[in-house]
Amino acid sequence: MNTLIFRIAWRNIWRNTRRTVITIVTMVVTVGLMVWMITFGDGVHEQMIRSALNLGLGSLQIHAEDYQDDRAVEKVIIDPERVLEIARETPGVEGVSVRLNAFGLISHGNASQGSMIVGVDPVGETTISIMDEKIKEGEWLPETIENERRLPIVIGSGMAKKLGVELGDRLFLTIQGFTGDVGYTVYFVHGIFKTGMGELDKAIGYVPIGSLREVMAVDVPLFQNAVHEVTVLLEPREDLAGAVNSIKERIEVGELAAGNSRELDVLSWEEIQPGLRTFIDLDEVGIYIMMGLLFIVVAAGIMNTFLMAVFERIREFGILMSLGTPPSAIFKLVMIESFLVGLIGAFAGLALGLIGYWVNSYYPISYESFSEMSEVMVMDLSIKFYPTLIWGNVMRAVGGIIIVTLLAALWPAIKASLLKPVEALRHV
Amino acid sequence: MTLVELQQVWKTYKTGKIEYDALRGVDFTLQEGEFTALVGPSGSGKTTMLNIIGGLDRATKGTVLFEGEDVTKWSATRLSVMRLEKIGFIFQSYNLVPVLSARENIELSLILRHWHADEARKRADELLEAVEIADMANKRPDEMSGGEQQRIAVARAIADRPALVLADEPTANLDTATGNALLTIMEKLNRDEGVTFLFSTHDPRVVERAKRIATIEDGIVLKDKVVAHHKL
Repeated sequence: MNTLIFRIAWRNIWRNTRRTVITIVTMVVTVGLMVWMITFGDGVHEQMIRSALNLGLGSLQIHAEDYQDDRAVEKVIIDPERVLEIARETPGVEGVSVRLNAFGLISHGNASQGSMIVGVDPVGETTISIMDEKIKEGEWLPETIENERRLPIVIGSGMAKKLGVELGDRLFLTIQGFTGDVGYTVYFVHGIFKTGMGELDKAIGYVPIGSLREVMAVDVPLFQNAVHEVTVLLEPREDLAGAVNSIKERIEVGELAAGNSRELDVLSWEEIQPGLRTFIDLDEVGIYIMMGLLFIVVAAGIMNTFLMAVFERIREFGILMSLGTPPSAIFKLVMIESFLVGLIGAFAGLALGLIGYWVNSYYPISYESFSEMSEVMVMDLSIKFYPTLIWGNVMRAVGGIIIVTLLAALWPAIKASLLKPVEALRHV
Repeated sequence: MTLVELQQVWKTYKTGKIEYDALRGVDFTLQEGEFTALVGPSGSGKTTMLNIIGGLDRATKGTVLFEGEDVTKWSATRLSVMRLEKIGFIFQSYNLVPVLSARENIELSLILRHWHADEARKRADELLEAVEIADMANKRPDEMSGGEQQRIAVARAIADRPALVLADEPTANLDTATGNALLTIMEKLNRDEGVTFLFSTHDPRVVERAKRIATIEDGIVLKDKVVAHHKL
């Protein structure tokens, strides 16, 4: 119906400027708040995930079949080279490394601590985790072992405290080998890390993978190259499912070098640590429930505004009807008015939310005073939280408010379209 | 040709438990090209009759034929299409759309009739000239006098050359000069373009110029006479 109906709608919404401005301001504040909440929530979630991935979880891991379930020491990838090659060729990969995990007892003097000893490639590990950056005393594992009699180990601050050890102190390690035999070796504390996450700081030690393999596979040639996991870190926001499927496909089509006695599992971090995914999903549900409540409050305000606007203009609708305007066009007019109000509110709100995002990017929120809760939160709370702008998520608030506005105007619009012309014309 | 025919039309209003018959079995016909005045005292049923003819209101009983078609049971949408395509309204209180300028008020009625925007503007300007207020084209109703608003209302009513213009007390709020000027414009349209006019009025100036006068009282058309020598 030409642009005239838009002109009528536009002029109508500004007839009661104060009321329209109040309605729009409500929408702007709501959308602004939602946009900021979404960017902050996405930022926290992304950092939460990144923090977990960077502390060793990786984006995905390749294990021997069922290793994830029972962590049996003998479930290994016997020849990891081809697996590493496939992993490195996967698009979006930031880093790839191998690990050998052993559960054992670390002793120093009379003190001992049950712990997980992770054999790592000292260089490869730095491409998939930030443990080297978490060293508070000493250094991360050296690239090569210069003295076979002083094998290096990096332990957490909690473990160091419990065992009462300092840099350079000797630790005696007792572990179970691949064949069930118990092996022993001695390591010297080369570095002490602190992540702020109790379990990690108390119960994990990192050693060069070769040294651990020697203890675990004494004189068994089959295990000379064995690893428990190939860990892959993807670039932020890379397609995780795509990467998992691509690796699975290539492994399944038999590209894997011969020599592996078992099938392999390719698991995303969500499968390895489902608790984190659930926590984030629940948090997102919380955000959306809050958004829903805000939408309801705003919808009530918008409906009130439009009902009043319709009531004030009953006679005018009568005039339009007398001119031959069909009820559907009257309905359309009210809906266009609400759409215009929704559009202004949504995009002005988006602008406000983006300002909040921008300010928050420069002044990140710190939960440092809550860092003791890091363990509970499964993340390092000593870091600063930056918001993340994911347009798809932000546009849910923008689209949502437009839809809510249209829904809220539905009843007033129907009411207007059902007016009887002669009664409407008589209305004072 | 008969444009409108009312057969035993009744209109009953209900206010709570009280019922009131505004029309009581009206029989009335209107031929194409007429310039007819419907006269009668206040509350006699003039406006109700106009509203029923124009499809703004529905008869409680009886039949309303428009161009031979029984419109009594038509839906609201179908009646709106009839108003759009066939009828123009002029009201006592002008009833212009307040947020639109004089020109836009005229354009609106054309655009509702699916005129192209450029054509609608051209026709609106022609009509503004015809009703002699071209200089008010961009003024909104609240910036115009009653007479000026009523001229716009006339222009709007005849914009798409409707078959029938229903004018409900069109001169009631106007001074003598303005009222006369408007009547002259409407007479000219009737004479030159064959537009049919039906007025409800008790203004003697309108009665004086009407070619036919129907008198209604207490919801019944009592007298109906063709005036042989009307004044131009």
